[in-house]
Amino acid sequence: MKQLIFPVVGLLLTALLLLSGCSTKAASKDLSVFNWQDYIPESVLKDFQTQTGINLVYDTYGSNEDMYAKLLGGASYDVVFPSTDYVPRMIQKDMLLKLDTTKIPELANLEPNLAKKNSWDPQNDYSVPYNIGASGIVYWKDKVKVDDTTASWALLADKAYANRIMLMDDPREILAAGLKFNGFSANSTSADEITKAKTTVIGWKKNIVKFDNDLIKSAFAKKEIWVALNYPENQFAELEDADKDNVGLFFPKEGGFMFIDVMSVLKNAKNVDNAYTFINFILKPENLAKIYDEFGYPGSMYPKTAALRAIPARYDVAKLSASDVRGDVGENLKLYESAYDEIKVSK
Amino acid sequence: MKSRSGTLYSLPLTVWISLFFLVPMAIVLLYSFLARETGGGVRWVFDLGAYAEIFKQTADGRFIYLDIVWYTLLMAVGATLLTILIALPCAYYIARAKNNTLLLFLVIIPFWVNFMIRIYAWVAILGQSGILNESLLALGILKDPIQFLFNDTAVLVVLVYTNLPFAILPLFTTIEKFDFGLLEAARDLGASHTRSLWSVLLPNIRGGIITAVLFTFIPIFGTFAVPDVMGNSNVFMLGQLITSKLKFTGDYPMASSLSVLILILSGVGLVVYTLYNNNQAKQRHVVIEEDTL
Amino acid sequence: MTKPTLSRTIFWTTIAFLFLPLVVLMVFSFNEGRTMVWKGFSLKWYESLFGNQPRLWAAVVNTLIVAFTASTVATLIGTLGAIAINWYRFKAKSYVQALSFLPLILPEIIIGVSLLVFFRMLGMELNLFTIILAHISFTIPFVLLMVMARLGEFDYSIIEAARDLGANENQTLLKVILPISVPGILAGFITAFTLSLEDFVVTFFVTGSGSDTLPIYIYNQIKRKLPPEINAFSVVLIGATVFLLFFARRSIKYFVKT
Repeated sequence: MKQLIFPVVGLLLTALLLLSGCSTKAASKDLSVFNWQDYIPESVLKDFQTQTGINLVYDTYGSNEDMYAKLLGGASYDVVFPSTDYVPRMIQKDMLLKLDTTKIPELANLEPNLAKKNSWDPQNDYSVPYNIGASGIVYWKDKVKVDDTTASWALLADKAYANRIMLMDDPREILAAGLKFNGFSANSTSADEITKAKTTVIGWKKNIVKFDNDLIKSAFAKKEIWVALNYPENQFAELEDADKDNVGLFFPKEGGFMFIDVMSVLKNAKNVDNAYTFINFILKPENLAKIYDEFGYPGSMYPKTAALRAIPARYDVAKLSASDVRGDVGENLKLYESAYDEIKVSK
Repeated sequence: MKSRSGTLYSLPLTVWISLFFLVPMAIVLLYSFLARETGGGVRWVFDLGAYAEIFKQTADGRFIYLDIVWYTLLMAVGATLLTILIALPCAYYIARAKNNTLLLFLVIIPFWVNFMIRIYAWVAILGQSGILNESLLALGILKDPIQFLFNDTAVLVVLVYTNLPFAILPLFTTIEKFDFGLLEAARDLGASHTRSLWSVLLPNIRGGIITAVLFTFIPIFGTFAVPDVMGNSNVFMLGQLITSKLKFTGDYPMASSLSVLILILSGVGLVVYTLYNNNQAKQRHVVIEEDTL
Repeated sequence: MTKPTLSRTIFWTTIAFLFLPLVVLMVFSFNEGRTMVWKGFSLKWYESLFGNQPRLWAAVVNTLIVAFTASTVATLIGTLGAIAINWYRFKAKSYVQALSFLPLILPEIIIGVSLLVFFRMLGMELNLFTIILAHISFTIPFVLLMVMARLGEFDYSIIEAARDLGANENQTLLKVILPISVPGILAGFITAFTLSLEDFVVTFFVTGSGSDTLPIYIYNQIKRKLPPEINAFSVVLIGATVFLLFFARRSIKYFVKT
């Protein structure tokens, strides 16, 4: 019998390992949230934990593609913050839980007009609006001379800023810039239009140091680059206070891409009740005001927060009149992805 | 000894490698022949699209993805050459030194500090507000800081940096076993120092060189953290492409077909290199004998 | 005999090159300022490192859990396998031998990609557990290599002597083969442990929610605002490494020579 000891121990250990991975935790005091980087201030998360006693696991992502692929790749969370173009896709894939809105009383504060414009999930069956905003161009005022009201995407082609420009790493955002510059819709599904947009962006590429969602913030804050296309809130969050007055922001006159991000509960969520508690907590006007203040979002989806804000919004949503809201392009996403790959490899 | 115990003892290993090498690789191979589900995953239909995609061309006839493969190959060759060129004399020096354990320690210690921390340190050195720039500014050599990061050279330097220990160790092991008396014999027969190193030492440590080359060359095909952190918008390597296909766009079939491509390339590289070296070895052997006579 | 001046110069330049990043980290861990500009001596980053970096330490704990579990299991499986391959004949022998060493030559990314696709197909959640499975998988070949190298230099006549003296198969295994393979097993364990601590590529693919290991944590922070505490942390890490190296010296020597 003794000769069995080694293999048996080995196999037992293997089996034990395999089993321990399958058992699920029967915890009700946990909540896992998968959110964009820099999207909720630490203080609000701390308040949530101390007030509810819920233990929060909080992970972040840099793009919708990243989030979606990670969820499909087996990552498991309770609450996610997709953009509106991903909501129909995720509903179709049966990834989202149908919400019981009676458990989210604070949703009543939602701007009534927004509900009319809601094309992704009109009854908020699967999603609760969280934030509205847009990508914009931030720049160092002492290095870049530009008039905010008339500035165009053409700035990216200006040789004066060669190797001083970084763009965010997101196929839809980058091609939206090219599409709007050529006068097309940012949600175009036409291969010709997307090809034209691609050619435009490839023309800009000589000036562009990198496409990156993380480095763009620290490199800009350190003034290693002077121009950055990104969500302005993320860029400003990285700046030293003293520098904030020295940095300008504009939305190109041709228009750009805007987004609405929502909160959703995943179908395979383990802590559904805590997820409702979390969403409702975030929607409380005082908490939303804190969030919008911290990052300088325009807000405006929940009117009650306006009075509670300590810092005025950095820009008004009215400035985005020429921009398109990020929409689902279905199978045509492939066109965007391969055009984007082409941009990345062109020299 | 009885073969039954052999089967028993090897059972965990057999099961494990079958389950965690063979099956996953078979799945990758399978996925590479399936259709893509937009946004992530596969559709269970036979499809050669993922391979066709690799050979996709732009309107003006340039290969999109093969260009990445070519670029990766160039970087791998460059980094390997540099690494071996540096590692050879280092290994030689260690092998000939009296206190070689201590010297080996010196090579290994930095390699024990987390790989990512070392990359971070290079960012801190090469960055625009990094040490190099600050020193050059302070010395008055530069008036404005230069961007040393975000280019091919930075990628190459750090690739060499991370691979050096992997090249030095196998080279040292073979050089140490080399009978240095042969070198002196060659010198006695009138060969110059360089010539004796070239035609006596090098052929004899071929095994070590092959190992060092393989240890440096092959991993570069999969590298992605280094080009991602140190590179610019023009640096796009195979590892980055696979990562973006798999983790960011969820294009499983193409990530799989590219992985199969890497498998084939590594396999071919391995075979060709071994064959070539065997051939060279035979020829070299003859030459030395003629020389000595 | 001429002194190898050229190789000496190259060697010491290389050592300087290898140590440069470490020296930089060390010096600036004592910097008063946040950036890479010297502002004066200070120990504040060390204080803050131990008091104020919960996510960093959580990543350290994850890394240690993974490394310890993975290298233990890999050592067990690898040692048994090495004994089987070296001493026994069995049906799957050539299959096992061929397949086990494949991961040593393949780029790591292949292992990462294939395991991610595999876990995803099984619908497994990505977490510490999948990381551990992956780490066991890619460290097994190294354990196998180390233990087999040790068994290979082993004098068969000792076994025959043991059998002649009346030891049965199990006694021979426990009292003769195992003790003799200890240096190989130890070297295998240490190698597996180190590789697991270091691993970025494979982990990057199979990591999931809340299971960042140290390399993943640092990668995620490098491009953003890496806390200056990371300098101090590196110095602590170097210290711990040298300390461990000192104790593991014998096994390391063995590792280097095989």
